[in-house]
Amino acid sequence: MRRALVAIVVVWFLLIGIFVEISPFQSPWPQQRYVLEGAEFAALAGGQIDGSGLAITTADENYGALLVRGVEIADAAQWPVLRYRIDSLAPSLEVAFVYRRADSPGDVRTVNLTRGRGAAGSIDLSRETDWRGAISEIGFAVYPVAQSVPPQQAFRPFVLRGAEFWSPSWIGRGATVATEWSGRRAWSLMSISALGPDNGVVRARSPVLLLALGLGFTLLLLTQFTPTTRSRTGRVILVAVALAWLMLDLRWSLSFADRHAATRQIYAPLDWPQRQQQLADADVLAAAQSARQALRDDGADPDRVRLLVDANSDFLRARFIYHLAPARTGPVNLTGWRVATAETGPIYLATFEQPEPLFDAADSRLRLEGDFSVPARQLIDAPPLRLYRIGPESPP
Amino acid sequence: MSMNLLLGWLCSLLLGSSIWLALAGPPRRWSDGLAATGYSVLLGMLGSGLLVGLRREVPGEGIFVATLPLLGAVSAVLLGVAYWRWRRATPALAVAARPTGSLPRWGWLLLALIALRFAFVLDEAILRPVFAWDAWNAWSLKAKTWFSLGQVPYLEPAAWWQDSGSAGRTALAWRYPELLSRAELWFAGAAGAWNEGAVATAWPLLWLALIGGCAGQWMALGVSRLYSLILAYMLASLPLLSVHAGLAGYADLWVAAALTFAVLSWLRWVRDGDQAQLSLAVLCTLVLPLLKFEGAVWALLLVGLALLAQVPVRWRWAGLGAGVLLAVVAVLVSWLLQLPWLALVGETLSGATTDSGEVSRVSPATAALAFLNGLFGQNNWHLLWPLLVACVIWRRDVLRCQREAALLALLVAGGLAALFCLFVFTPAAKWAASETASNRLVLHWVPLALSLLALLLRDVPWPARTPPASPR
Repeated sequence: MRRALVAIVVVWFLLIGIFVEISPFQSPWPQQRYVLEGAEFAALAGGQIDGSGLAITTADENYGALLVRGVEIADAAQWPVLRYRIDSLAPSLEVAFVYRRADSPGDVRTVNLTRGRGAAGSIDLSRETDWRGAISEIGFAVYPVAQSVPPQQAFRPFVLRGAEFWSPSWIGRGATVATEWSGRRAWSLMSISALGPDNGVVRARSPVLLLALGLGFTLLLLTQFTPTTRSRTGRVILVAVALAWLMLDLRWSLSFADRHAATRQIYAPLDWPQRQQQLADADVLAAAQSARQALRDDGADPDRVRLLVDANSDFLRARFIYHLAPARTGPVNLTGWRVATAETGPIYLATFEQPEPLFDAADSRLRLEGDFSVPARQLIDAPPLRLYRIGPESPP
Repeated sequence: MSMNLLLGWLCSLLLGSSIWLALAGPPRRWSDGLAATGYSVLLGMLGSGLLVGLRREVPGEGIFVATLPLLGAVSAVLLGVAYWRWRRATPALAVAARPTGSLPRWGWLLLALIALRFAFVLDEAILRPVFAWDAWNAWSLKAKTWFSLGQVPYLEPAAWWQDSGSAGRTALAWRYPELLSRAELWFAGAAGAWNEGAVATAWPLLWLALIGGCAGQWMALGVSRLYSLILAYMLASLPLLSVHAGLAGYADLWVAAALTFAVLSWLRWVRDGDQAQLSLAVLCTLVLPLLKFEGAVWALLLVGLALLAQVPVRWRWAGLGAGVLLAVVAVLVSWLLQLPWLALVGETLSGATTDSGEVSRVSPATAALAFLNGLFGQNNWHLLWPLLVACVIWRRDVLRCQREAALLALLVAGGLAALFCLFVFTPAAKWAASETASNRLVLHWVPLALSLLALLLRDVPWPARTPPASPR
């Protein structure tokens, strides 16, 4: 039994080492640290010194905040681990690390950060191809969670406590993997399809696979070394599987709670009609409402006239159509431009973030495909929204 | 949530319960009661959707009032059938036996964890407006339009251009089955407005019904109460399943529930010869094509296996050949008649996008890795698939001896093999590589994978606490 225990411990250590990607040639702990207090950073708007930290109380015009400071890092490769500490960061906000390299000061490079389970988080910058050479400026960009949070409602005050760069070490690598495995996540469109890739780049190996392999090897070793105690082996494996499952469930429950916290922050204070107005794509909703009103102003019933719809992406086009519902919409990627062959009734075209088709105001013509153009009248020219009435029967 | 919405829920539950009672009679055991509740929620919601489809001209909240008499009449007829069956049945059928024995203390903890998860997903579904892409693009768009205008037809684009009236609509999902959208319309009608939070409550409740229905059927299939509870907790804890309940709007949870209930009822019929369960299995199977195209494929797979299982051993190869021949004839006839489902199959298999028809090529190795990563590596299913593989190897004798376990294993393997082939060897591989569709289709089979685990483990005694050895 003792041999089995030793073998199991060795196997688990090996597996953890492989999954955490620890290099045996690194120091167990960071030999050097470069500590930066939060108060040393400058915010573009709304910053106040709070002890050694920098409190951000109001959002900038992009509903977020940018905190920067100059640094003199001669060789980025010596500082692969960035540890950051931000207090009271709302679940509706995301963080990115921004930096400038001395060799290209005009370029601002960004790396999305995972929000740590506590206030602190870590990232291994050695995996970022652009993290090299001399670094002249670093900072943190805080902004509303994309896709799932209305930007105008996202901001809440927070405090940047500080950041540290560490030289390569086992602890540094372990801290980055711990951040990835336990970090706070937010809903994205991808969440309905796959959990893990739904929050951007996957930077650490799978803890699920680690547990599965570890349990498999444990079972194998127990049956090899203690073949006569099958019932005890069964009980050990049962307990181990139960613990592993509960650990994974605890991890998912916390992740679900983080995601739900953002939902509650935004939507809990509102009644249902308000909730349906507070959307991450509120601009598309507003455009749809403007288009429907413009159709009415033009004497058309928005639910009876044909309304072709286009946008610069499948997502935007589909969202625009949903917000226009119950309008008689036709997505142009599906219906095509058969305007000339349509027999009855006026036809309208609404576009969102789509420069084409081009409208010639002098000739009052809309160029649809190549040289094919139709007479048209522009009803809305307020980019990203444009609305046209097309067809020869357009009144002057 | 308004009282009307609550009334809508109760009406759906009444309809679903009536269907169960008419087909299976009053529950005789506690496990049947649990299963009946789960089935009633699914069948009631979908039955309400079907009835809403009979009142196409009524828009707005009027759809609720207009459908109520239909729902009442159908429920009354079904309850009449149930009463007639109950009168003809042997006495004391209606007495539901309470389970004997008590759960260990940690068993109650598992129940509490399920309740906690339900509270979270329900709150998420109610608070967040419809969010996930296909939820609003495929299903809610129609329901939202119908709520305002009545159930106008969705046409193919050419017909939309030719439509001289003003009713016809078109959309990317114009040929998708419409039952789910009609169920959404029912709840919007009950809520009295296009209230996305009210409509979304259907998904967490279906999630709970799926867990309850599974637990009840597992117990009816001979799985102990403790194992059923543990497996019910495992089902409730699966991350991607709870995402589909919380981010309401996709059809996959409905397909999973209908497929699971159809298969579990079929297995009960295989095991006990219970005709009522066969009726439920048929009903749930019939619902599948009305939910999603994949539902039709799974229904064919299930019907094919069920028929094959009934054929005497010496006729099986001939039966298989006849089945293949029948399928070829069906495809040929569909091709000659230009039936829309064939175009849908073509699009799915070709991986063509609706935008440009461009097909991206992904190598089979990349696609296979992505598919397997979804099962074993990502955070979607905890340890379900490694555990199932281990248990199949460990309990392989069960597959030889117990017919229902073997049939279920064959069915789950067939479903997963179909998905593997689709996502690895066809241009649809791009959806596996992009992690967008493969896990959602795997979700259809997840409750059945847990059911297989339940059947594999049902004869394994729970490890008893052994007293410490006395010192010698």
